[in-house]
Amino acid sequence: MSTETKTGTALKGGEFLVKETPFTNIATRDELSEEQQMFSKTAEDFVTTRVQPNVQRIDKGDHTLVVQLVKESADLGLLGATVPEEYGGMGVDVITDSVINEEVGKGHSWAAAYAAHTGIGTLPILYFGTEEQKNKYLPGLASGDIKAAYCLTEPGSGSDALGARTKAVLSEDGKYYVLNGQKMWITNGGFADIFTVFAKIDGEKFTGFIVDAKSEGISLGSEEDKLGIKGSSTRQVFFNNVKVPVENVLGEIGKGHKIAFNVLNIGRYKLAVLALGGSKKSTTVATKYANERIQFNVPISSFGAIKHKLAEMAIKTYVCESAVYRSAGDIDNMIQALVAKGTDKVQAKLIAAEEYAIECALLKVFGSEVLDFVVDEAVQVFGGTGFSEEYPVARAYRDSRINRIFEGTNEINRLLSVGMLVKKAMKGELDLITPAMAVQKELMSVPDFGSDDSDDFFAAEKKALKNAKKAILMTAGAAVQKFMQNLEKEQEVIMNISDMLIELYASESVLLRVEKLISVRGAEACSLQIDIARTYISDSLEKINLSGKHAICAFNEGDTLRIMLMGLKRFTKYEPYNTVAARRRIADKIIEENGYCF
Amino acid sequence: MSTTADKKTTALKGGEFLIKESQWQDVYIPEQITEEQTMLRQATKDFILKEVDPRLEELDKDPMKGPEVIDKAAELGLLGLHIPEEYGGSGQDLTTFSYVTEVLGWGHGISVAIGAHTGIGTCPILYYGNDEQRAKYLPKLATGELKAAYCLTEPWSGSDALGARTKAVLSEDGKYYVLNGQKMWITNAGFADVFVVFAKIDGDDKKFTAFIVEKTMEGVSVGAEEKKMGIKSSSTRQVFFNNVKVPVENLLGEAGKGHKIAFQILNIGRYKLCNGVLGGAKRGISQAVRYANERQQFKTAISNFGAIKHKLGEMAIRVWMSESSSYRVCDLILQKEHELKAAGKTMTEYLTGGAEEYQIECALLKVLGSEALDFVVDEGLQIHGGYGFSEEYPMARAYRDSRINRIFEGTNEINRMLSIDALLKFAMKGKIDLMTPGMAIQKELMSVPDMSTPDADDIFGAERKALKNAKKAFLLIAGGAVQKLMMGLEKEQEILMHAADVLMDILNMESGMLRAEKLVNLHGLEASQIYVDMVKCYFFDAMDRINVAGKSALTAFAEGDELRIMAMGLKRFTKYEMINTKNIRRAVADKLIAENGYCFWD
Repeated sequence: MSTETKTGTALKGGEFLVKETPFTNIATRDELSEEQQMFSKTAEDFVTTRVQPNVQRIDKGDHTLVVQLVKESADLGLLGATVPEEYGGMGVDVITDSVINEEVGKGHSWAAAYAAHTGIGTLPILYFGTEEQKNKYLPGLASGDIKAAYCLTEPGSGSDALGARTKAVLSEDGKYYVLNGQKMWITNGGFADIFTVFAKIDGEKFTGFIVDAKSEGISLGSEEDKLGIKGSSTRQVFFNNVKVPVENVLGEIGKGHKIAFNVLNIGRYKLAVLALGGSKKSTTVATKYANERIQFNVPISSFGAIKHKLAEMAIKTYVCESAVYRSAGDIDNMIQALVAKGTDKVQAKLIAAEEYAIECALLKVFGSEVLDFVVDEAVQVFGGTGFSEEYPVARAYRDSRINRIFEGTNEINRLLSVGMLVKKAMKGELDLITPAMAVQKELMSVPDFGSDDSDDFFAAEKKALKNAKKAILMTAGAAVQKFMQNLEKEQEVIMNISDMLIELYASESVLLRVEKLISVRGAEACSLQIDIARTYISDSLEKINLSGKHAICAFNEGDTLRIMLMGLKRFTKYEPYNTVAARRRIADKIIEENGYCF
Repeated sequence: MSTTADKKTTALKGGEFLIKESQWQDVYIPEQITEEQTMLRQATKDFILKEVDPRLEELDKDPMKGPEVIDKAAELGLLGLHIPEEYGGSGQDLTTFSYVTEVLGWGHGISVAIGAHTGIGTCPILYYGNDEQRAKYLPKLATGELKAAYCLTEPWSGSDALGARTKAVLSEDGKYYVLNGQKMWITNAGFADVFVVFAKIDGDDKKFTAFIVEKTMEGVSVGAEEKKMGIKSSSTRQVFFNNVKVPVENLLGEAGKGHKIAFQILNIGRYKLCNGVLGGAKRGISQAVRYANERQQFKTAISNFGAIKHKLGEMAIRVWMSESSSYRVCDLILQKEHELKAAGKTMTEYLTGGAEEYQIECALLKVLGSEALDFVVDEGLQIHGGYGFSEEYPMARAYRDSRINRIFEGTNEINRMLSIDALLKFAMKGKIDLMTPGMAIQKELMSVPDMSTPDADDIFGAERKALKNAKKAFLLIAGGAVQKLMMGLEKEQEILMHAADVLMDILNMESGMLRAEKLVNLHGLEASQIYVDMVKCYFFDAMDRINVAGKSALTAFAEGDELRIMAMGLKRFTKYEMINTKNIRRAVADKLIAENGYCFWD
């Protein structure tokens, strides 16, 4: 992807809340390089010809086939895409990895196996392994000869990951650790060759270990009977006096949380990409059905109620895509910048993912909720056949549901996103105070009745988003002032703020993307994308308004409440937009193309 | 049970809740349950706990075991509650039936099997059968000796029910009809003895007719069990009719009037669906609360976290509000039935007249109930975290089972559109007067806004005002759409859907408020404060939803000055107090948590 067009300095993580981004600064899915397109095509062909025809077999529990397909994907270079070349991978950037994962995301249970292997399975070693460990494991992980699983969760510790009870004790001769404990919901548990296990040394120092699955003392529970992704292997893993050589300690002793959380940062981003792929697929599947299904002598796609659904599915998917690739681009740019300054490429990626941890958490929530929305509406479009397991959408509906739970529940990610933002502000990494103070001042002054800059195509939208940022700063700023250290106990308020942040990030991303697209193709050729952006922003501002109201009413009274509510109203204004007509135009295009086409 | 004695005003007619004010004395609330009804309800709970719960997995694996459980329900008399005594039932009224159905809603696929038998299976014969047909079938349907299924949907006709292709041709000797066709998604098909089948005589669209078909008739066959996402313990199959000879005396109702039967059965079926899913929802809440109390994370029960309290509070509020509407409408249907019976109407007329009168409410309830349940199971699953995704915990099943409710008995989209369609038809026919209040609003739009403050002594002063305004908002949207689009409105499904969403919130707001008010009057404010708060919390969100839906609708058909004036009116009509909903949800949740389950009338 050409980066020459970029101007200005890149935004830091979380800065989207306080700064404006020129469209030239963001990456979009519309400008993939030839190489990236090739990767996309390879992944698409593989998933279409090898995975999708076998979805039923895989869901019945054919893990041999799952493993075989993992291996086949490796032969195409898909498994080790993000592993550096020196370790047998392709060393692609985040955007390239994303186009691959989008296609993988259409692969149901197999996608979970692939993602667990390449993500939480491989990344801990890639990021935190010693040179020896990397040399020993990465080539095998990239080639699929070694399959990996990640053992963090325990029956008693899910969201509270650090509450793990698995224990490691150093042997008297200092040569190995003895591991005892029990891990739960371990994806790929049934066939993994190595496990990244988190345990507390002497019950205190939370530490990562690379554990050979063949070690004595390891045993597996039976396959979990799950609601969805039935074809992915999910088991408990038991460690009974397992001897792990000291050279298999991953990263620093007592710094296991760093591994766990960093791997989750990028894992969350990847989850959003996988969900995006799934959303595109289900939108297409629903469109095809709506075109085929005849009721009242016409295809049901000709009904307004169905058009509304199809359009909304496509809108959310497109917006999600805009946000995902914007983040990917930001991460890639930071990696490039760091590498240019001499940082090791792998370290650079780690640093960059941490920098954009807020965006990753927001994307995880947004991506998984868009997918859940899309599959739910797909079932509804299918009617009775949607409830039948012999049609594709029931599976999609069941499979989707885990995404709001794993890699940190969406509640945890909402809380985290705001928590991280506040922390960044406290540390002085991000100046929220100055703009928040400015908003406070503005609240007391005469409203800005300035007309929109008519030269700018998106003047109204830009103004609206600028105001939305003020709405969030006002709400979050007041909450911090009011609760100080106790803010974390006000989870409802934090969730409201997080919802506002998600809407802002999504809205701004789609706006910038469309603006960029217009700069290339002209507005006329982008009329539907303009519809998408305006419809989304119109709805989004209503959501920001409501979330703000809930939050503000939760901790203000009297005059303060009144002033803030007035400010909120002012900051969430947007000209009424005929979203019904816009959705019809969007739907008509999808219907004509017989699938998602943006 | 004296529900009529304390009534002050005449009962609302169907759809009239939109334009008339009701008093708390007018509404029936579930807390008015009698001792006898409570006992029956308890027996039903015991039945579920003993006969269904321990067998959930086994029944899900083999729907053909469903009849064993249905027979147990029959032994308790649960299949014949609504069947008159002269036909072997116990002749209970709809209220009693509802108290039982609600608990049966705990039974996953089995509740669907029983519901299909007693509802769409039995009711066509109960409502439309002649004396011979009733005498022949009802006693055995009441005892479960015969099990019933309803065959309307076909592979090519779902929402478009009248597009059915199954054909009936009268034999030359005039003694029987020859049936040919194929029906799909037939609940209880695997074991039903009696099928109520809709077919077109001579394939003529105008001769859509219902028939009672027995399994033993030659040419009736069933397909394999459908592999469904949920309600696996209910049998769902295709049913094929291949030159089936159906005696003419098995024609149900009048030839060519099958659509009337189909739609009437669906009217009451929608009410019952709502009633059942709300029972399921209350159980789902209890399961979620118990789990949240047990599950420890960060060294404390997760029920202590605000994020979880928010969910629990909202789950309970939505269910409680919809339940208020459900029992209110139940009573209205029942009163109508009594009125028609007293007026000397036929059994068909008085049994179907209630649901027909309140068809708008029934359609709205179907949507409200099924969406409340889907919300509850989704959040319940989320509270369970990883365990929610496991089939060894209860939420995964509930999540799968719930999903069908938004699809069958008319998809929620069809029901949304039907509700508005019926309302407009009522208006056209002069059954209710939407014109006068509609015109008044137009006038009000042009005049100075009403700045009066609500009566401070009235605990629901703000709500009464908001409700009145919400009704105006609806009339503004729908009235504007009708004026502007005229007959073209039916093509503007998006607007109809928005209007239906507004109408649902109005029904719930009013019913919930009146229920809370009645409780305050019965038990005092202190004991009922939580209900008052729940109502306020619902109002806060509902008024916002109405505003958003209204804006979408208005911008879809108005422009320029007209739009500006209407939008201003909408804004004015959707104002409500700014209250602390977080605290209310916490208070509601704290009560649930303390009681370790749903506790607002269970």
